[in-house]
Amino acid sequence: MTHLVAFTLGRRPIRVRAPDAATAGAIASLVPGYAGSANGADPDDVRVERDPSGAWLARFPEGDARFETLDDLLEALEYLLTLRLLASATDRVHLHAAGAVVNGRAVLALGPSGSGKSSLALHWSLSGYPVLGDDIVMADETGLVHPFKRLFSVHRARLAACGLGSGRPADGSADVEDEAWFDPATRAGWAEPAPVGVVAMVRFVDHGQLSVGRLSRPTALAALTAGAMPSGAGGSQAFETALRLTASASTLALTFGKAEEAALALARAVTPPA
Amino acid sequence: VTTTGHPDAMPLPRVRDDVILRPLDDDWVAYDPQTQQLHVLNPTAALVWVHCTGEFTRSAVIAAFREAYGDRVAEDQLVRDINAAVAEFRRLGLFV
Repeated sequence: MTHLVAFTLGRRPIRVRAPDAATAGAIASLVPGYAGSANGADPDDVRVERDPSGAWLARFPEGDARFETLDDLLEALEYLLTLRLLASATDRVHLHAAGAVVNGRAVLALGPSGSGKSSLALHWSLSGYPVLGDDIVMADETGLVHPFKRLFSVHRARLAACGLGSGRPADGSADVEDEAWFDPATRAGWAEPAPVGVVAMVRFVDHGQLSVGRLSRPTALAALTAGAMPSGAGGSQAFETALRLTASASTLALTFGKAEEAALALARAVTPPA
Repeated sequence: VTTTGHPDAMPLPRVRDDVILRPLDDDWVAYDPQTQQLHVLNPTAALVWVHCTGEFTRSAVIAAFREAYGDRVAEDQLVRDINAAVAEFRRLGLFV
Protein backbone atom coordinates (compact mmCIF):
# COMPACT_ATOMS: atom_id res chain seq x y z
CA MET A 1 0.00 0.00 0.00
CA THR A 2 1.38 3.38 -0.98
CA HIS A 3 1.00 6.61 0.94
CA LEU A 4 0.27 9.99 -0.60
CA VAL A 5 1.72 13.20 0.80
CA ALA A 6 0.50 16.50 -0.63
CA PHE A 7 2.07 19.93 -0.24
CA THR A 8 -0.21 22.88 -0.90
CA LEU A 9 0.71 26.52 -1.32
CA GLY A 10 -0.98 27.50 -4.59
CA ARG A 11 -4.12 26.05 -6.09
CA ARG A 12 -2.77 22.66 -7.12
CA PRO A 13 -1.16 20.43 -4.47
CA ILE A 14 2.22 18.88 -5.17
CA ARG A 15 1.70 15.15 -4.78
CA VAL A 16 4.41 12.76 -3.62
CA ARG A 17 3.68 9.04 -3.45
CA ALA A 18 5.73 7.08 -0.89
CA PRO A 19 6.11 3.29 -0.56
CA ASP A 20 5.37 3.17 3.17
CA ALA A 21 4.14 5.24 6.09
CA ALA A 22 7.61 5.86 7.53
CA THR A 23 8.94 7.27 4.27
CA ALA A 24 5.76 9.33 3.83
CA GLY A 25 6.28 10.78 7.29
CA ALA A 26 9.90 11.63 6.52
CA ILE A 27 8.86 13.33 3.28
CA ALA A 28 6.05 15.27 5.01
CA SER A 29 8.54 16.52 7.59
CA LEU A 30 10.66 18.14 4.86
CA VAL A 31 8.17 20.99 4.42
CA PRO A 32 5.70 20.46 7.26
CA GLY A 33 4.15 23.90 6.88
CA TYR A 34 2.52 22.88 3.62
CA ALA A 35 2.08 19.11 4.13
CA GLY A 36 -1.36 17.59 4.20
CA SER A 37 -3.66 15.26 2.35
CA ALA A 38 -4.99 15.50 -1.18
CA ASN A 39 -8.08 14.31 -2.94
CA GLY A 40 -8.82 13.86 -6.62
CA ALA A 41 -7.17 11.91 -9.34
CA ASP A 42 -4.37 14.26 -10.34
CA PRO A 43 -1.21 12.47 -11.39
CA ASP A 44 1.57 12.20 -8.82
CA ASP A 45 4.38 14.71 -9.20
CA VAL A 46 6.89 12.31 -7.69
CA ARG A 47 6.60 8.61 -6.98
CA VAL A 48 9.15 7.18 -4.56
CA GLU A 49 9.99 3.47 -4.73
CA ARG A 50 12.69 1.12 -3.49
CA ASP A 51 14.52 -1.10 -5.92
CA PRO A 52 15.58 -4.68 -5.10
CA SER A 53 19.04 -3.49 -4.00
CA GLY A 54 17.51 -1.24 -1.35
CA ALA A 55 18.27 2.00 -3.16
CA TRP A 56 15.64 4.68 -3.54
CA LEU A 57 14.07 5.64 -6.82
CA ALA A 58 12.30 8.95 -7.34
CA ARG A 59 10.17 8.84 -10.46
CA PHE A 60 9.43 12.27 -11.93
CA PRO A 61 7.47 13.00 -15.09
CA GLU A 62 10.81 14.09 -16.58
CA GLY A 63 12.60 10.86 -15.65
CA ASP A 64 13.94 8.79 -12.77
CA ALA A 65 16.63 9.53 -10.20
CA ARG A 66 18.32 6.93 -7.99
CA PHE A 67 19.60 7.55 -4.46
CA GLU A 68 21.69 5.19 -2.35
CA THR A 69 20.39 6.47 0.99
CA LEU A 70 17.17 7.92 2.34
CA ASP A 71 19.05 11.06 3.41
CA ASP A 72 20.19 11.66 -0.16
CA LEU A 73 16.63 11.19 -1.41
CA LEU A 74 15.21 13.55 1.20
CA GLU A 75 17.80 16.22 0.44
CA ALA A 76 16.89 16.11 -3.25
CA LEU A 77 13.16 16.11 -2.51
CA GLU A 78 13.44 19.09 -0.17
CA TYR A 79 15.10 21.08 -2.93
CA LEU A 80 12.56 19.95 -5.49
CA LEU A 81 9.61 20.73 -3.23
CA THR A 82 10.99 24.19 -2.55
CA LEU A 83 11.19 24.90 -6.27
CA ARG A 84 7.73 23.50 -6.99
CA LEU A 85 6.09 25.30 -4.07
CA LEU A 86 7.60 28.57 -5.24
CA ALA A 87 6.44 27.82 -8.77
CA SER A 88 2.90 27.38 -7.46
CA ALA A 89 2.84 30.95 -6.10
CA THR A 90 4.05 33.00 -9.04
CA ASP A 91 1.47 35.71 -8.33
CA ARG A 92 3.64 36.80 -5.40
CA VAL A 93 7.05 38.40 -5.34
CA HIS A 94 9.66 36.05 -3.87
CA LEU A 95 12.29 37.93 -1.95
CA HIS A 96 15.69 36.81 -0.73
CA ALA A 97 15.19 37.92 2.84
CA ALA A 98 14.77 36.72 6.39
CA GLY A 99 11.85 38.03 8.35
CA ALA A 100 9.76 37.94 11.49
CA VAL A 101 6.65 39.73 12.71
CA VAL A 102 6.83 42.00 15.75
CA ASN A 103 3.85 43.95 17.03
CA GLY A 104 1.91 43.06 13.89
CA ARG A 105 4.57 44.36 11.50
CA ALA A 106 7.26 42.59 9.59
CA VAL A 107 10.96 43.14 9.97
CA LEU A 108 12.89 42.08 6.87
CA ALA A 109 16.63 41.45 6.75
CA LEU A 110 18.23 41.66 3.31
CA GLY A 111 21.73 40.65 2.38
CA PRO A 112 23.75 38.25 0.29
CA SER A 113 24.54 34.69 1.29
CA GLY A 114 26.65 34.71 4.46
CA SER A 115 25.27 38.02 5.71
CA GLY A 116 23.64 36.34 8.71
CA LYS A 117 19.99 36.17 7.65
CA SER A 118 19.46 32.60 8.86
CA SER A 119 21.06 33.34 12.22
CA LEU A 120 18.81 36.33 12.70
CA ALA A 121 15.74 34.27 11.81
CA LEU A 122 16.80 31.54 14.24
CA HIS A 123 17.15 34.04 17.07
CA TRP A 124 13.84 35.72 16.26
CA SER A 125 12.17 32.35 16.53
CA LEU A 126 14.00 31.45 19.75
CA SER A 127 13.06 34.86 21.20
CA GLY A 128 9.37 34.22 20.65
CA TYR A 129 8.71 36.11 17.41
CA PRO A 130 6.77 34.28 14.70
CA VAL A 131 8.93 34.13 11.60
CA LEU A 132 8.44 34.67 7.86
CA GLY A 133 11.49 32.75 6.66
CA ASP A 134 15.26 32.56 6.94
CA ASP A 135 16.09 33.07 3.28
CA ILE A 136 12.87 33.47 1.29
CA VAL A 137 9.71 35.44 2.05
CA MET A 138 6.83 36.27 -0.26
CA ALA A 139 5.03 39.58 -0.81
CA ASP A 140 1.67 40.18 -2.41
CA GLU A 141 0.44 43.15 -4.42
CA THR A 142 -1.13 44.81 -1.39
CA GLY A 143 2.21 45.06 0.40
CA LEU A 144 1.68 42.20 2.84
CA VAL A 145 4.58 39.85 3.50
CA HIS A 146 3.76 36.15 3.74
CA PRO A 147 5.90 33.42 5.23
CA PHE A 148 7.58 30.84 3.06
CA LYS A 149 7.41 27.87 5.41
CA ARG A 150 10.65 26.15 4.58
CA LEU A 151 12.65 24.74 7.48
CA PHE A 152 15.73 26.75 8.40
CA SER A 153 19.07 25.30 7.44
CA VAL A 154 21.44 26.18 10.28
CA HIS A 155 25.00 25.16 11.16
CA ARG A 156 24.93 22.44 13.80
CA ALA A 157 27.46 24.39 15.83
CA ARG A 158 25.12 27.39 15.94
CA LEU A 159 22.20 25.22 17.00
CA ALA A 160 24.38 23.68 19.70
CA ALA A 161 25.37 27.15 20.89
CA CYS A 162 21.66 27.84 21.34
CA GLY A 163 21.20 24.66 23.33
CA LEU A 164 19.69 22.77 20.41
CA GLY A 165 21.38 19.47 19.58
CA SER A 166 24.87 18.23 20.19
CA GLY A 167 26.60 20.09 17.40
CA ARG A 168 27.40 16.81 15.71
CA PRO A 169 25.59 14.94 12.96
CA ALA A 170 23.52 11.91 13.94
CA ASP A 171 26.13 9.60 12.45
CA GLY A 172 28.62 10.80 15.07
CA SER A 173 31.05 12.40 12.64
CA ALA A 174 32.89 15.51 13.75
CA ASP A 175 31.83 17.65 10.80
CA VAL A 176 30.49 20.61 12.76
CA GLU A 177 30.26 22.64 9.54
CA ASP A 178 27.41 20.35 8.56
CA GLU A 179 23.97 21.92 8.60
CA ALA A 180 20.82 20.75 10.30
CA TRP A 181 17.15 21.64 10.02
CA PHE A 182 15.38 23.88 12.49
CA ASP A 183 11.59 23.90 12.47
CA PRO A 184 10.19 27.27 13.66
CA ALA A 185 6.90 25.51 14.46
CA THR A 186 8.69 24.03 17.48
CA ARG A 187 9.15 27.55 18.86
CA ALA A 188 7.18 30.71 18.07
CA GLY A 189 5.79 29.30 14.84
CA TRP A 190 5.12 30.90 11.49
CA ALA A 191 3.85 34.45 11.16
CA GLU A 192 0.59 35.57 9.65
CA PRO A 193 0.86 37.94 6.67
CA ALA A 194 1.83 41.42 7.83
CA PRO A 195 2.74 44.86 6.48
CA VAL A 196 6.37 45.86 6.75
CA GLY A 197 7.73 47.90 9.64
CA VAL A 198 11.48 47.62 9.08
CA VAL A 199 13.65 46.84 6.08
CA ALA A 200 17.29 46.35 7.00
CA MET A 201 20.40 45.60 4.98
CA VAL A 202 22.37 43.32 7.28
CA ARG A 203 26.01 42.26 7.35
CA PHE A 204 27.64 39.79 9.68
CA VAL A 205 31.22 40.60 10.72
CA ASP A 206 33.09 38.04 12.79
CA HIS A 207 33.52 39.51 16.31
CA GLY A 208 32.03 42.76 15.01
CA GLN A 209 30.23 45.30 17.15
CA LEU A 210 26.55 45.99 16.64
CA SER A 211 26.12 49.07 14.48
CA VAL A 212 22.76 50.41 13.33
CA GLY A 213 22.47 53.29 10.89
CA ARG A 214 19.92 54.77 8.58
CA LEU A 215 19.59 53.44 5.06
CA SER A 216 18.14 55.71 2.41
CA ARG A 217 14.73 54.58 1.25
CA PRO A 218 15.77 54.44 -2.43
CA THR A 219 18.70 52.20 -1.45
CA ALA A 220 16.33 49.92 0.46
CA LEU A 221 13.94 49.94 -2.51
CA ALA A 222 16.76 49.05 -4.90
CA ALA A 223 17.87 46.21 -2.63
CA LEU A 224 14.35 44.83 -2.36
CA THR A 225 13.78 45.09 -6.10
CA ALA A 226 17.11 43.41 -6.81
CA GLY A 227 16.24 40.75 -4.24
CA ALA A 228 13.19 39.62 -6.18
CA MET A 229 13.80 36.03 -7.26
CA PRO A 230 13.04 34.87 -10.81
CA SER A 231 10.72 32.17 -9.43
CA GLY A 232 8.09 34.78 -8.52
CA ALA A 233 6.50 37.84 -10.02
CA GLY A 234 9.17 40.08 -11.44
CA GLY A 235 9.74 43.24 -13.42
CA SER A 236 7.36 46.09 -12.78
CA GLN A 237 5.24 44.05 -10.32
CA ALA A 238 8.32 43.36 -8.21
CA PHE A 239 9.18 47.05 -8.27
CA GLU A 240 5.68 48.22 -7.36
CA THR A 241 5.47 45.65 -4.56
CA ALA A 242 8.88 46.65 -3.23
CA LEU A 243 7.76 50.27 -3.32
CA ARG A 244 4.72 49.43 -1.17
CA LEU A 245 6.89 47.47 1.24
CA THR A 246 9.31 50.35 1.74
CA ALA A 247 6.73 53.15 1.70
CA SER A 248 5.93 53.05 5.41
CA ALA A 249 8.94 51.13 6.69
CA SER A 250 11.95 52.28 8.65
CA THR A 251 15.00 51.53 6.55
CA LEU A 252 18.20 50.57 8.33
CA ALA A 253 21.74 49.33 7.73
CA LEU A 254 22.95 46.96 10.38
CA THR A 255 26.36 45.37 11.00
CA PHE A 256 26.68 42.77 13.71
CA GLY A 257 28.86 40.10 15.27
CA LYS A 258 26.28 38.55 17.58
CA ALA A 259 23.07 37.44 15.91
CA GLU A 260 21.07 37.35 19.14
CA GLU A 261 21.89 40.99 19.85
CA ALA A 262 21.12 42.05 16.27
CA ALA A 263 17.82 40.14 16.17
CA LEU A 264 16.61 41.93 19.28
CA ALA A 265 17.81 45.32 18.01
CA LEU A 266 15.83 44.86 14.81
CA ALA A 267 12.75 43.66 16.71
CA ARG A 268 12.91 46.76 18.91
CA ALA A 269 13.08 48.95 15.79
CA VAL A 270 9.58 47.86 14.81
CA THR A 271 6.95 50.25 16.04
CA PRO A 272 3.35 49.11 16.40
CA PRO A 273 0.92 50.23 13.68
CA ALA A 274 -0.84 53.52 14.45
CA VAL B 1 23.50 66.87 -26.02
CA THR B 2 23.13 70.05 -28.03
CA THR B 3 22.55 73.12 -25.93
CA THR B 4 20.84 75.70 -27.99
CA GLY B 5 20.76 79.40 -27.23
CA HIS B 6 17.00 79.36 -26.98
CA PRO B 7 15.19 76.93 -24.68
CA ASP B 8 12.37 76.46 -27.19
CA ALA B 9 14.54 75.42 -30.12
CA MET B 10 13.27 71.83 -30.07
CA PRO B 11 10.96 69.64 -27.98
CA LEU B 12 12.38 67.37 -25.33
CA PRO B 13 12.74 63.69 -26.29
CA ARG B 14 10.16 61.13 -25.23
CA VAL B 15 10.84 58.70 -22.39
CA ARG B 16 9.99 55.03 -22.84
CA ASP B 17 6.47 54.06 -21.82
CA ASP B 18 7.60 51.01 -19.87
CA VAL B 19 9.79 52.93 -17.44
CA ILE B 20 7.90 53.55 -14.19
CA LEU B 21 8.27 56.81 -12.28
CA ARG B 22 7.11 56.93 -8.66
CA PRO B 23 7.57 59.38 -5.75
CA LEU B 24 9.60 58.23 -2.78
CA ASP B 25 10.06 60.60 0.14
CA ASP B 26 11.56 63.84 -1.23
CA ASP B 27 12.83 62.18 -4.40
CA TRP B 28 11.47 60.16 -7.27
CA VAL B 29 12.53 56.77 -8.52
CA ALA B 30 12.43 55.51 -12.09
CA TYR B 31 12.43 51.75 -12.58
CA ASP B 32 13.60 50.40 -15.92
CA PRO B 33 12.15 46.88 -16.34
CA GLN B 34 14.44 46.16 -19.29
CA THR B 35 17.64 46.59 -17.30
CA GLN B 36 15.98 46.08 -13.89
CA GLN B 37 17.81 49.21 -12.78
CA LEU B 38 16.46 51.76 -10.36
CA HIS B 39 17.33 55.43 -10.84
CA VAL B 40 16.84 58.10 -8.20
CA LEU B 41 15.71 61.48 -9.54
CA ASN B 42 15.76 64.72 -7.60
CA PRO B 43 12.62 66.88 -7.93
CA THR B 44 14.09 68.94 -10.79
CA ALA B 45 15.01 65.84 -12.76
CA ALA B 46 11.54 64.42 -12.09
CA LEU B 47 10.01 67.63 -13.39
CA VAL B 48 12.10 67.27 -16.54
CA TRP B 49 11.03 63.62 -16.81
CA VAL B 50 7.30 64.33 -16.85
CA HIS B 51 7.86 66.84 -19.65
CA CYS B 52 9.79 64.35 -21.76
CA THR B 53 6.82 63.33 -23.89
CA GLY B 54 8.13 64.60 -27.20
CA GLU B 55 5.74 67.54 -27.04
CA PHE B 56 7.08 69.95 -24.46
CA THR B 57 10.00 72.32 -24.77
CA ARG B 58 12.46 73.51 -22.15
CA SER B 59 10.32 76.60 -21.66
CA ALA B 60 7.47 74.43 -20.40
CA VAL B 61 9.79 72.87 -17.82
CA ILE B 62 11.01 76.29 -16.76
CA ALA B 63 7.43 77.52 -16.38
CA ALA B 64 6.53 74.48 -14.29
CA PHE B 65 9.62 74.95 -12.16
CA ARG B 66 8.76 78.62 -11.58
CA GLU B 67 5.24 77.65 -10.56
CA ALA B 68 6.52 75.11 -8.07
CA TYR B 69 9.62 76.83 -6.69
CA GLY B 70 9.44 80.53 -7.68
CA ASP B 71 12.32 82.59 -9.07
CA ARG B 72 15.12 81.36 -6.87
CA VAL B 73 17.12 79.80 -9.75
CA ALA B 74 18.26 81.80 -12.78
CA GLU B 75 16.98 80.72 -16.20
CA ASP B 76 20.39 79.89 -17.62
CA GLN B 77 21.07 77.63 -14.64
CA LEU B 78 17.70 75.96 -15.14
CA VAL B 79 18.46 75.33 -18.81
CA ARG B 80 21.80 73.76 -17.80
CA ASP B 81 20.02 71.55 -15.23
CA ILE B 82 17.43 70.49 -17.80
CA ASN B 83 20.12 69.66 -20.35
CA ALA B 84 22.07 67.69 -17.76
CA ALA B 85 18.99 65.67 -16.86
CA VAL B 86 18.17 65.00 -20.51
CA ALA B 87 21.77 63.92 -21.16
CA GLU B 88 21.64 61.53 -18.20
CA PHE B 89 18.30 60.04 -19.28
CA ARG B 90 19.77 59.53 -22.75
CA ARG B 91 22.93 57.92 -21.35
CA LEU B 92 20.78 55.51 -19.34
CA GLY B 93 18.80 54.55 -22.43
CA LEU B 94 15.50 55.82 -21.05
CA PHE B 95 14.34 57.57 -24.22
CA VAL B 96 12.40 56.01 -27.07
